[in-house]
Amino acid sequence: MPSLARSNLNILVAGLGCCKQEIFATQGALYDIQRFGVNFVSTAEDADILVIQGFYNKKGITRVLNIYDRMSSPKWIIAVGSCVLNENLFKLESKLLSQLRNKVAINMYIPGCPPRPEAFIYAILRFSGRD
Amino acid sequence: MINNIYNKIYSPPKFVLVEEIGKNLEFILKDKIKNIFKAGQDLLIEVSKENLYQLLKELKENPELKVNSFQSVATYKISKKNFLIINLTSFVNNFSVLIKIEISGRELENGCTEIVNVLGEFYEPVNFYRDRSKLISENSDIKIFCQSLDGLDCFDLNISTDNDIVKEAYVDIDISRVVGNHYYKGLEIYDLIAYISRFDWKAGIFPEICLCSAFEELLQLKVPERARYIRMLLCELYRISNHVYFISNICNILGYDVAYSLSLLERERVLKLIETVTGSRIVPNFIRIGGVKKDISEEIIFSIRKSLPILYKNIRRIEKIIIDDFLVIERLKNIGIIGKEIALDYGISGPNLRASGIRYDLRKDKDFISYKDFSFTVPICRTGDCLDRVLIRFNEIFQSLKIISQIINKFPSGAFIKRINLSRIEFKSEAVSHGIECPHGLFKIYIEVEKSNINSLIVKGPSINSLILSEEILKENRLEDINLILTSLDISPGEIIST
Repeated sequence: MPSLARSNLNILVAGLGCCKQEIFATQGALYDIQRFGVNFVSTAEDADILVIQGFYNKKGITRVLNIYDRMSSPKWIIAVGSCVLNENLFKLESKLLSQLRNKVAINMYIPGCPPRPEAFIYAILRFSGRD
Repeated sequence: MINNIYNKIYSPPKFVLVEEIGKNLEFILKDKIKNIFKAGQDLLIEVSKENLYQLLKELKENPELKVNSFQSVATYKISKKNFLIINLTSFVNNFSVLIKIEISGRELENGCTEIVNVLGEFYEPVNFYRDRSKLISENSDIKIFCQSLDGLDCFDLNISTDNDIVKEAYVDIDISRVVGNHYYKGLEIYDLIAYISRFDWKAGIFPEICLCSAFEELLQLKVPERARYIRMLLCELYRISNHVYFISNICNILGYDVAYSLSLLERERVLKLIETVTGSRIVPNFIRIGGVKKDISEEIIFSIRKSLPILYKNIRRIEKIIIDDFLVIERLKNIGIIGKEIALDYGISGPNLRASGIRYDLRKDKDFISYKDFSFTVPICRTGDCLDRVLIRFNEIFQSLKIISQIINKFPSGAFIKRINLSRIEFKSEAVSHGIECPHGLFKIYIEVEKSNINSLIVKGPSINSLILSEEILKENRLEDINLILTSLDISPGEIIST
């Protein structure tokens, strides 16, 4: 990872799952992910890392891929939670991961349902080579 | 004493016998109703498609019934037969009605649109369930995609504007329809309890309690007192966590970083207590049919008792920080006002309804778990604007802390679960509807069982009603307030995915 991106990581979180709540909990004073230079953004153009989590239907998957296309390179994808890792909990659009894998490369997986905020911070640090 | 004075000032809803209403309705509408009986807390009326108009007219216009709030519509299928179920509530008379209509498989689409048209004559929010793609594309000029704003967690918003003022707003929830129709078929009951907490992931214990209570009602099982107390303790802890998270979201949008980080800290404190009890922060999977999974030790009770005054002090501090700042008050005041009548029409519930000045809380009005053992008040506000919706949540947090302290002091001894063998159980063919007061409002589950199979399971969260109402209250507001108004309605994405 380039040092410029490492010291100022912008993360975009997409999806409807409960992992989102745990990911944003890292912004609080207890975990304080911002001390590692990590920010959460809501526009695709500013983001370095796309976090995918939770449930998606067909429309959702096309929209996530669209967001990934709009991101400027270098760009990475992190998959968070059991919904994305194993199969969708409610089985409407199961095997989401294989659909996504065919189109984009996922750089890191964080297991758990939902993973704890510490797990997310550890993953980000490991991803940027600072663990 | 205090309760009596409070009840005199804010009159509680009437206490009505559902069976009596059923008998009256049967007498009035004789041949037009197929079947009428009490299913759990609600009155279930089976009716044919042709007689629906007369039934609805009677329900809405009879002064003794006054069923004026529309709750939800859902469809399900049992062995090639299609059913449509409509949920209507009367907040004034404190009872709710389920109308079940059979539709043949061939005319499913036409039949549904016919029924929605009939419903639309009496209840305005039903228009949300119509096919509106043409209307949206013609009348809106800006599309805001979901998750591009903090308030838009799980839906797209189409708006038409005139010089920064919103003229029309349409909500589109196509993106969040991720739950299959029959996900519950072939699942064990224990698996179902683990799944169901994803339907409200801001406060995961409430769907679990609702589902388990519905099964307990089917089995006519009495839960041990200790288990009931543990359930109430978790309910209140989750309520505090949800409300503090709500306040942190509001502060985040206002750009008030001090209150934002302080409230997230308090939420972590509450989640830590929940974790010591259940072992999980968000999705507990802790409630079992007949009780709870684990007992609570004395140490945990001691740690909860120790952190109660700290929580009270810190949340009071956050409240003071917010209220003392006139800039925040000016920003929140007179925005997104929900009047009394519109709140009743759209069937919103929970703190949003109470902020509009209607006192309705299942904890007080129905015998829900064992809340009648404790003394607490149901806070209400008058105006129903964003500020009221924030302040009422602060008040609810303090009431929850009061309930928790009473639970801890009265904690009974005894068994924490009544063990039953679920593999040998055979239900009669029955239907049950069970409601619970979750932090967003009225959470409902409707189950139909036959032998050991679950034929239908319909989950209805309160957020969908707030979402439909948001279309109305966004009108005549400024563009920059959209985010704040939507966040102040406290819409939980988990509840939207099941509709």
